Amino acid sequence: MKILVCIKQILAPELAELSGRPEIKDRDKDPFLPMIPSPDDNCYRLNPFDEYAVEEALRIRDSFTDVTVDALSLGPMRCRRVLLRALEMGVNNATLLRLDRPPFSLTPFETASILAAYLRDKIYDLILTGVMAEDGMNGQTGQLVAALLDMPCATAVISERLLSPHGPIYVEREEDGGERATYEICLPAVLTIQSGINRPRYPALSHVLRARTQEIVTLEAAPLLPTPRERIVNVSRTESSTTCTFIAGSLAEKAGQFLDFCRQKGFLGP
Amino acid sequence: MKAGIVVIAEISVAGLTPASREVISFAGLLAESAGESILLMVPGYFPDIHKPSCHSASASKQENPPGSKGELGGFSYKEAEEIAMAAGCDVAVLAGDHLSAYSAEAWMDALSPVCREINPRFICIPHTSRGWDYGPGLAIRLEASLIGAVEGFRLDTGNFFFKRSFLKGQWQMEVLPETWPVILTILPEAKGTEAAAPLAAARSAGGRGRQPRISFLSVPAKDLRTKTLGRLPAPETAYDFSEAEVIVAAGKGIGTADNIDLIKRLAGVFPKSAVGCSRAICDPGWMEHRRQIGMTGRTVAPPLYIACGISGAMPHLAGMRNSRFIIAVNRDKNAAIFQVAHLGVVEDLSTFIPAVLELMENKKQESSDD
Repeated sequence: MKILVCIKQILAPELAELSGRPEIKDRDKDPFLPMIPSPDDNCYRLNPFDEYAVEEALRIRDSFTDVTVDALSLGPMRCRRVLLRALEMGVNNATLLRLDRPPFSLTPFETASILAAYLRDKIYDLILTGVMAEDGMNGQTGQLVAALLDMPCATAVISERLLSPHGPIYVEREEDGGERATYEICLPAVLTIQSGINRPRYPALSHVLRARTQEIVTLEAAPLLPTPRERIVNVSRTESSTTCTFIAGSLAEKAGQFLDFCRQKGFLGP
Repeated sequence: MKAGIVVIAEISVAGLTPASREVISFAGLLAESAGESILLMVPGYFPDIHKPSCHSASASKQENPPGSKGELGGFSYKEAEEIAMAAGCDVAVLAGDHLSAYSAEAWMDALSPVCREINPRFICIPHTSRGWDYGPGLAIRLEASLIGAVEGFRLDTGNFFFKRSFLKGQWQMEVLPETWPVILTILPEAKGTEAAAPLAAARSAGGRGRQPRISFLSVPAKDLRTKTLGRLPAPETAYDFSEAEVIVAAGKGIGTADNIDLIKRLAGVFPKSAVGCSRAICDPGWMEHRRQIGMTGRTVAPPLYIACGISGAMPHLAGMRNSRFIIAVNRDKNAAIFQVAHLGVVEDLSTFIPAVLELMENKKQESSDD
């Protein structure tokens, strides 16, 4: 059985001080114009939702014999860091589809089309990915890859069970309000993994050392780019709220005003 | 059937879901700007309409639907009429046995031939756990453009720009469709869908003062690779927030599990309070899942909501934005939670909460000294 996990390197907003108001007026003139002030490489990390997907793939591998887990990522060379992380967690092989584009300049359709074009002649029984990327918050790539490859797909998977490597796979998907819908799905299939499905492992030292010797295959992704179907044209900071009153002053003054507000509104009791 | 805008609705025993009604309002505004009419598509199980014996490959029209009462577990003709009246626009019911339980594959299969035939410019879908599940696959089948979690739109020199947020709501982008149709998943509470004027825009733009027309399409079942097995309730009995006047909620910004205690102590300051949290707190097991507030957890609207270290990403806002007062405490002055808050405190929780507790303690001592 072969499992693929698609992982993304995301921009961690808490690690990057992103300021300014860059605007893209015409991407035809300069499609590589950075949209967001480019932070340094330390501001990026593995998408936490994808970490759950890697862990789930490794758990399936542990339950059967002859299972390999491959990791695939798309982006500039700095994305090798997240593939290295996947190797450290225990995946067998790692591939980078290299594309030098700034963050948030690819639409989910472009991302999924590149992944699907690469996967068209590969054979995987199961493709896992995170339910969404924490930075872009689209939550579409998995479904798009599935549709492009004509595979069934389940999103927001909070539990899965595979009785045999040939499938079918039983999944529970999380719906609004925490209710769950259960499905039996034929393989090959795509699952997008919801956070909380497992506790991702911390890489063992032996795996960390082994990962350093493993190769990360790097392929050029630019030839796989599709004709875009939608275009990101303006990127800006969200306008700050006009209704929120910020409490100013020293720490003690802020605490005092906070309590005054609660008292005035009657929340602190008589 | 012709329409420039198709809205795909979700229905429950109470009729159109609130998210679907909001999308109809949004479509109404779009209809005004684009000069298009609206057609509401309602996939579901309508046993007295659906002909199980039908096996043709494409959806077939049924001229004279029977008017009898529906069977248990499905929707009746009368209910379809009520849905049409509530929506105020023309309705196409897609009826099929296999549409009784939701699956992305069944919905995409039912919807794509009909959408292709109607060939609208816009297809509007609620951005719910179902909408964003089947929307992308439908876009591929229709070779459509796709924009998710849409919050609003702007018409500029003939071009429609759709607005969506990213980076936990701190940044926004405008997306321009370059292929038609365009599939939009519309966020609840998208701008211009205020509940105060529900569906009025849709009525004027889509209904044009006449009775809405209902058409029925019987969708034959096909062999699908996804089999629906059933539904399970939310795993644990949800925590009862209904009695609480004040909900103090913790987010990832609290830093460490040890700070949960601070959140609980802050809640203890208020006589009628409860402690809740965002998903990021449940996943590592810092708090039980039954206390989770947000799209995949509970929806609450207490008189006072104190958001501690919560960034304000869309899934959490969906569960608490209707609270009467919202106070946000966050170290990051740009956190999106301040967009919905009435009162904002830019501070580190590990120093702010102790300062509040200390003031309360002093107050108590003063009053006991008196």
